[in-house]
Amino acid sequence: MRVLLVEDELRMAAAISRALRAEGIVADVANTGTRGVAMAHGEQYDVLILDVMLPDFDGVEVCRRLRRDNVWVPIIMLTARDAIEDRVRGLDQGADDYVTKPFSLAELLARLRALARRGPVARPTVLEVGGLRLDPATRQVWRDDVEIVLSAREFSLLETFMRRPGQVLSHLQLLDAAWDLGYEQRSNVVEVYIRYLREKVDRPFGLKSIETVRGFGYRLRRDGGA
Amino acid sequence: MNRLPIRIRLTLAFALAVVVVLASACGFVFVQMRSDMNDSIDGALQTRMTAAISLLDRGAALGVSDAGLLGERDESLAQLLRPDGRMVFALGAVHVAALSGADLRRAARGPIVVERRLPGFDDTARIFAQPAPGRDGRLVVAVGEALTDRNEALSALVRAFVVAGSIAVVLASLVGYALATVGLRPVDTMRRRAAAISLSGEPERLPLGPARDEIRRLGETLNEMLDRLRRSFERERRFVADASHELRSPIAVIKTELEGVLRRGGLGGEQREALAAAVEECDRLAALAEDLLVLARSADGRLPMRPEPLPVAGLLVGARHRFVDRAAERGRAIHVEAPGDLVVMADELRIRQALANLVDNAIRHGDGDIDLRARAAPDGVEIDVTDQGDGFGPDLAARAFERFTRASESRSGDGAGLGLAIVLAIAAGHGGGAAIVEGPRGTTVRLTLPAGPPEHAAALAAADANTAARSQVPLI
Repeated sequence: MRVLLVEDELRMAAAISRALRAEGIVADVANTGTRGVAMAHGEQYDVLILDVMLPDFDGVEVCRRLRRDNVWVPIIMLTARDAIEDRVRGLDQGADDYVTKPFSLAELLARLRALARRGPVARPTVLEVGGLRLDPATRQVWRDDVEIVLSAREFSLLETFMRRPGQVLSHLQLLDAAWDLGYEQRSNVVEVYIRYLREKVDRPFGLKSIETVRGFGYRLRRDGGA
Repeated sequence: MNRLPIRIRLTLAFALAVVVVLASACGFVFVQMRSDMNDSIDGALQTRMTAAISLLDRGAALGVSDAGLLGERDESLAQLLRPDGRMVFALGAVHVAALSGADLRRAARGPIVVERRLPGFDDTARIFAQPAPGRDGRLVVAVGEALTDRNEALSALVRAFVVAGSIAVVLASLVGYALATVGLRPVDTMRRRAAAISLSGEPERLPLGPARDEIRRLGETLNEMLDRLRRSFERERRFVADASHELRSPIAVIKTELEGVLRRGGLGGEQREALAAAVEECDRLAALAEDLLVLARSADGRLPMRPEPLPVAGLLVGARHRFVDRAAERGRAIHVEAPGDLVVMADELRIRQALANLVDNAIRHGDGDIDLRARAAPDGVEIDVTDQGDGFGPDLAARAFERFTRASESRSGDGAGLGLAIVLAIAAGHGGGAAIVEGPRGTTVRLTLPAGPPEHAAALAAADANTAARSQVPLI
């Protein structure tokens, strides 16, 4: 396994890389965010260990830049115990996991192994289907460059479609994905909300992206509507 | 006198001054009026004396017909006396010589005025006497009048003075008291604000009166003192925050290095034990640094809080889960009792920490089973953590929420004594509180937290009904 450690504190970096090497893991160290981004671009790493506090820009920004540039190496963040804000921002910007300092070495290693198993698969933080874009963290939706305002229910319905572009989703699947258990008997809410969604996502743009598959359910076209 | 409140002292001084001024004014008026009245009485006596002498000159006997000239008979007198005191003639209600021997001898030499009591008159008499003209001092003429009218007028005046004076003094005292109260109001305003000021939070100052007086200067001085206190408090707080923050990194490095060595192996049993103990101490040190940071940040309201509606039952069950094994090792159980629709507005991480500290305390210092009970209260939600131990005792209860308070003075025990201080800081950070509830048995620490939004509770209640769970039934 090859790991990039982005950590500005020299002693901490030394301690972690020593421990990693003892486990037979190759560990490179970057002391700044800029250097970390450059190294992650240049080499194939299995996991990136990222300290949130860096001298130039913070670890969250490193995540954002790497994901923006389609670098999908799994990222684990090191944060302070009470830095929930950092963790939330980091995870929303594409980090995969975190441990809080001081961490248990055994736990860090286990998490590294788990992340390495996933491999550098594309895990975009912003979903894109054709011209449709959806950001689950900020709960914003755009068609091309026009922002669309959706209600909470419409949003979760669209998110369900966008995570499975081209798949036919049944009434029941949609109910499960976007409604509480209490709605089970009233299956026509799905039809109602599909109509709302089309009013906002398709109609104003003169497109048709959500298709009805008679007898089965609905499908979001892979090209985002034509 | 010095023990009296300043307001009373001012009022008394004011009243005393008014009494002195009034008394001198009254005294002056009294003396002036008496002298005026005496003058007019003397004038009347002079007239009567002239009449008496002219009668004597004419040689006429003083007869009843002339009595009108000499005044009314029962309130006045007219006498012709020899210097030895024998009466040649007397008119009026008095039948003894109107003058004493000494006065008679003086009167034989020249006119005198005396006042003396005489039998026959109700009141003092004022007597004017002089030698009868042309008799070589062998006869003295005396005319007199009872002073009943004058004395009555004067005593009426004194009565009026006493009544009006008392009223004036009372009024003056009231005014004095009111003035003192108004004058001291800025002090009272400052006092009330000072009682409410805390050194943490917004930098508040004492209100200053508009007048540039001693009270304002006192307020300014106190405000400067507050600023100094606030600065030093702030320095202390920042020191603790910085110190605990700076401790985090080295502790993390030490722990990583120690664990690294332990994992690489090749150590003897004793070396392993020593390193494992050091790792454990690292964890305690890290926890201590975090706790201190929480306390330092909560002291100035900078404790990051993300309150959200949380079901209380879930929190309590969570706390039970974390500690049930440790409790069972000691043969003790943890019971949870909470209505299913009870919701608090709280930061989950912090509340879990507060509950963990309370249950941990109950396990380490208490005895018997541990009860976690929650109920709705007028000022939010009350969560009681109760064990069946001996209680805190009055000594410990008084300072249980202070930092570094331990049940016993020995430092051998575990924990730094920050647990309850953290609980209180967290509760206060939520706008709630923490207190020790004295009961007949055991130890109860009560956490009060703000209740969550009612619609959330309603939703929970509905979900509860759905899953056929009944509220108030112990969940465990």
